[in-house]
Amino acid sequence: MSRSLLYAGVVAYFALFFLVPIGGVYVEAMRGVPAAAVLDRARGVLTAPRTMRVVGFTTGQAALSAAIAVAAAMPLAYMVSHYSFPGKRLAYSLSLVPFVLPSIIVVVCMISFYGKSGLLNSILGTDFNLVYNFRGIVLAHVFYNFSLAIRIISTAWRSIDRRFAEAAESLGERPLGLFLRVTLPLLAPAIVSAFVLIFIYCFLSFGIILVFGGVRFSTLEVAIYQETYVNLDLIAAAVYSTLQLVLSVGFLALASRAIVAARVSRSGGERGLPPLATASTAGRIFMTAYAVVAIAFVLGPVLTMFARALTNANGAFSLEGFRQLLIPGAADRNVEGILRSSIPGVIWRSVAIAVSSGTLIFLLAAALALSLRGRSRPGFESFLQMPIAMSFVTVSLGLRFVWGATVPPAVLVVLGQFFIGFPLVFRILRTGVDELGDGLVRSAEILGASRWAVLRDVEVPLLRRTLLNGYAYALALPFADLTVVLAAGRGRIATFPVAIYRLIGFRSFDLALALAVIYVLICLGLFLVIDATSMHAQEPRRDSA
Amino acid sequence: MIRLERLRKAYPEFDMELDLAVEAGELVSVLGPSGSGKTTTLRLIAGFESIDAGRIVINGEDVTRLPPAGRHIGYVFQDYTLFPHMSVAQNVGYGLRIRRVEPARMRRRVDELLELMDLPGYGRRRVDTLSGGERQRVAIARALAVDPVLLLLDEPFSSIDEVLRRDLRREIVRLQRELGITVLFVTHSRQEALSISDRVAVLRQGRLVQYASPVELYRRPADEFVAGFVGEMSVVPHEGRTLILRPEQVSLSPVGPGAGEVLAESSVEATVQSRQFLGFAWLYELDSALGSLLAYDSRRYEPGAELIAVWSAGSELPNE
Repeated sequence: MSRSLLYAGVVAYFALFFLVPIGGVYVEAMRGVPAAAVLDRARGVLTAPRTMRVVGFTTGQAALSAAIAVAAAMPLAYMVSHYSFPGKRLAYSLSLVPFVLPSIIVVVCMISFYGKSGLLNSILGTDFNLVYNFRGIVLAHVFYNFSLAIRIISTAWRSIDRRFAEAAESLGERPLGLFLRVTLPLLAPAIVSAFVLIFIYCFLSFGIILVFGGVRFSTLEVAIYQETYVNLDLIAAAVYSTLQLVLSVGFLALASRAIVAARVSRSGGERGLPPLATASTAGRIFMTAYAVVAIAFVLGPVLTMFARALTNANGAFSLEGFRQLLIPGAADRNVEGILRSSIPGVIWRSVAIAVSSGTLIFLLAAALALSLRGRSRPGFESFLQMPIAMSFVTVSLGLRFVWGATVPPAVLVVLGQFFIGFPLVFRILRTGVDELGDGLVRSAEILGASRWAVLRDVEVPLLRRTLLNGYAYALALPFADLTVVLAAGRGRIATFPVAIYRLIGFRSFDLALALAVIYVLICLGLFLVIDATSMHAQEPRRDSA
Repeated sequence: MIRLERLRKAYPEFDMELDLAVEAGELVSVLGPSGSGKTTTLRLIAGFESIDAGRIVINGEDVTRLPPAGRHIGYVFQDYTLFPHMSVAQNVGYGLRIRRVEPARMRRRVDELLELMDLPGYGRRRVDTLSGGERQRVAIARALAVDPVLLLLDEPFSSIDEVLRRDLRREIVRLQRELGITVLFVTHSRQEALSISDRVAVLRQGRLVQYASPVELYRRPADEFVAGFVGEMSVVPHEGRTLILRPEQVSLSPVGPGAGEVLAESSVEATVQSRQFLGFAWLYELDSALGSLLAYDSRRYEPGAELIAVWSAGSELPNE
């Protein structure tokens, strides 16, 4: 049957390009070393002070970043879920900008805004440094994930049935008690989800730590990379990647328990929201001020990056960076030498790899989502979500060990990037397909439509937005990827994120700024598609009400 | 005891305009088709929505400007709205907790209420393990815990199956008699309204069409809308007036020898058009010179049968 063939194919893909490579790292680490020596060395790594430091830092910064992001998001989540105000849609869309940026661009943004010679210092006339240190790492992570927290919490807040509050009020409840005794407990699953998701993102953080961590701070993911490529200690890399897997799976398992335990049935009507003007004066002033600060927090670094890319050291308008990048022979340094590629090469390679990876991700995710409609396969689906908890450095490394001799690096990158985008895209499509339900498809089948006719006449037209949304994410995630390209590409593949990373490393921040702006402009189109479709996908359809 | 005085509220669909008085200890149903403003009436009384004009007076106190928390009203929502993160006991005791009733007294009161609602020992249960009927009783217990002066019930049985619904209806009447509490009860079911209420307020498009006892409502409906809404009927012209005939007021007999004597003033020849079996009788739809007639009869006639329809009483519609 074609369905079992599809499942078998997906399992085979995961086995060949995910599980076998992870095993390959261990095999490679132990090759030519007696087992006793391996164990001895592994024990040595596990008990080394550095390991404790890395684990402590990885966990601590992730917990702190997630806690700050969630706490800071609460007032805005309230505002977004309870009031309408002019420009709300635009603000809501713009808030997503950092989240879709690659980590390396976030780095560029943070340096432009918070760096020693950044905008904030020159405005305030101060000399603090909020990058390249612990505070900088947490700040960048909060900047990165803040809008995700707003989205998750505000969606849940809006879906809480207004009548719970009315029931409480009719029993004599006052606003503070209502928040503490009713709203907060009902909101807890969303708060926990947001915290855990952001925690995991920060726990596995790579690009930001690679640049900001220096020699003092590394997450397990960065430590794996350093052991492999700098210290050439594969046993240490294997130990770290085992630690990372155990810890992240552990956190996810703990969290999913907490979320399931707290899950409640909330049937909330999607109603029109009252305008912000109906809030109390104090509330209105607080929310407006808070929103303005938040918008500055989110957009400030991005806009500063643009401004600095378009000005010279004296603050005058200048396209010097773009000139040096784009016009052959115009650069005052060897750009191609730094990038190990030409600029047009970077552009077309980035696009080609993203389109290949994105299409592969999309097709498999769509086929699986459609064939799983109405079925529950929790085991299989957890298996498909496995990459979320895995070190992409380890997977990429393993891909090189196992397949490097037979498969060209660019193909390896595509095979590896699949796991970056697949879990999210699959979930988006699965949710959309399940919401469509079974009835329409069954009706078409009873009327004699073939599988293809159902797909063409029912599923694709009705799921157009979901499919578009899924494809946009399928393209965006590989496009932003730094880890797999660096680790599986053997340094031979230079895409946008790699090129920007190299420019920062070679003290060419001016050129990094220009290249980042070009990247963001290319992304902007993609991002508009994602957001336009995802906003609409959330609106209830009138005919289904 | 509770008075709605020239209550006004503008909505996109209709404008609400209402005068209504409910005596202490009365059980009043608010009846009407969907979209007639039944639930809105309750929400305005509870203070969930503000009114444009008019006054709401409860026990002599003008509560128009008070928030819901200050009105001492119990409210039971259509789909229970029990707090999903609290146990049964926590739900029932919620209002007492807000009032800082000391724990031991609160526990006693909660147990007492669960006993009263026939849910002894349910305190520790999770809300999502309860059946629909149990949830409904918990919701009522929660509303009663704070000794409200008025209990508002918004279609409390709409998602409960027929058999259970009958039990719960009896339960409400028993409670109301036992506690002597004033109850305002929204429903779109005429059976529900007629069977348990002291009085029924019939709403249509945000206006009160008739406010009367169930018997009066059935026997002397204010207009054809009310007549049709509270029961089956036929409308018959009679001596220049309009008569409302309930099916049980029309009796049938076969045409035969001696039938001419039956043909009196209040009778007409009629032909069976269609029939429905109701268990206790058949409901016949007949065609006659006066128009379409409905009648109950325990005998079985075939469609097309020619009969004599005789009516005994019938209520007259006021000429408008």
